[in-house]
Amino acid sequence: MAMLTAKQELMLEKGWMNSAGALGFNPPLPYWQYQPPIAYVTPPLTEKARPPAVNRKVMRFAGGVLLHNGGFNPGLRTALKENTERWARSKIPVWVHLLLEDPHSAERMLAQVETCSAVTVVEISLPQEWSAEQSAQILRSLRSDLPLVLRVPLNQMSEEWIKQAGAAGFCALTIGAPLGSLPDPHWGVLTGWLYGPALFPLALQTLLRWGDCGLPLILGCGLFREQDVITALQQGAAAVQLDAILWQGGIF
Amino acid sequence: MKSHFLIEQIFHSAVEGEVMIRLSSGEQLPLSAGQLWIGFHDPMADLLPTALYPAMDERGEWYLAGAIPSGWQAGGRLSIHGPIGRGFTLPRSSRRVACVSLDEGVHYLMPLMQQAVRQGAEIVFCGEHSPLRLPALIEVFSLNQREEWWQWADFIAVQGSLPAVAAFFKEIDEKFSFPSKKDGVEVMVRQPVYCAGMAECGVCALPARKGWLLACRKGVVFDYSQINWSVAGLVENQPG
Repeated sequence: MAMLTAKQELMLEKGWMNSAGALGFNPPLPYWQYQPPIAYVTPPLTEKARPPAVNRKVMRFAGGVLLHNGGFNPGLRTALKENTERWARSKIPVWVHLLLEDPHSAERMLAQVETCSAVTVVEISLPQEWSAEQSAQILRSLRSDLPLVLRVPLNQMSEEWIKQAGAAGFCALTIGAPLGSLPDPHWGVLTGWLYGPALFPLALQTLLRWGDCGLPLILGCGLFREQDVITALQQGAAAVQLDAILWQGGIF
Repeated sequence: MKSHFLIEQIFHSAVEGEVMIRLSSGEQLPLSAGQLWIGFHDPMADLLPTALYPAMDERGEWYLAGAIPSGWQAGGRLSIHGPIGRGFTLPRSSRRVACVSLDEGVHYLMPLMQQAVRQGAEIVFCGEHSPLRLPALIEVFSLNQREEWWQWADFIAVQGSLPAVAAFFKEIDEKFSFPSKKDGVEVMVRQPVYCAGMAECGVCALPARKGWLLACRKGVVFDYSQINWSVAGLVENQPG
């Protein structure tokens, strides 16, 4: 069991924020219409910069889209350097999203983020290819003075290791966009993040199934309509995250 | 700038997969050749915003063109956001203008050609074929006849997809040792833009001399020297 150090509490109010990857580092303000978000989540950051994938693409399917970009990001150090000042002036709490690649980089990245006073929460996602044991192990080893939120893709939400998040010191669980694959005439199969209203029934069902996990749940996929957001919050979501709908002006 | 318009007219252009729309009161939009606009209609049906590019027909009337969803209909309400990027910047002093189209998208260059006509420049159009009837003043060359116009022009505007433009400049470089042509070459690269500049997702990213340029933030027209063409030809990100 991880040693819990004194850490800041996660105050989560019922409302919405963007999902990691839905907004860049400098989204045009205001990117909401009538109801401001309760937090801003950065794009997923790795320790080193990642270029966009050579075969980067967006593909449509019935009720959704698949985004394949190879995890394009400038790297944590550059992101913090270029944005800390703006985040410090933000009236909206800033959540940094870390995409972990290995246990050692996880420690270094958390240490870097903790030096940035503008960051209030760290949201973490783990590599899809890790085994359940690896994932559980990294959960137990992570330590931070900042509140930690675990983001799990919708298609992974049946895995047992997720139930250890609470005991490991995580403050909330985000049910995030799933990974999916589509055939591509040039590349065979492309794998990427899925967005769209077709995901909502499965997302809602997952929210209901995990309702007694002991952690506040953030529903972070499939939300394209205001009514679906209301339903999610009424059915137990502590907050919601909006993704591709923000690219068309949002819901509110 | 974000505005709401009614779609007055929709028609298909000669370019495969592209549709043109004319907006009611569209003259309120400050349209300029090579700029990027983002259109939203029905989020649930469209799922993603639509990249729109100013175009002009044979009569000199403005339209917006792009891969417009089939659900857009005349009379429908459209939200337009933009412009993104500066578009083509034809210097007033330019007197010999070459407009190069690497596909049938010559309508994107028509506004520029009309502007060049108005400022008294000589203009050549270079492309394999044009689905539009060009003004009589404009001389037409095929792409293979680049010796006729490459060195002659003091401003060159090129439009096409990223692979086509990268291949074009590779050939130019081999033939003319291109670095000798430093100024006055602008490129419109019609990259797939899906996040309306909100996410910086990287799908529209162009390799720059250092780092990446995002078309959704910087627009789709760049100075030739900004792009790392040796890497650009390796990208395979056509719309899916």
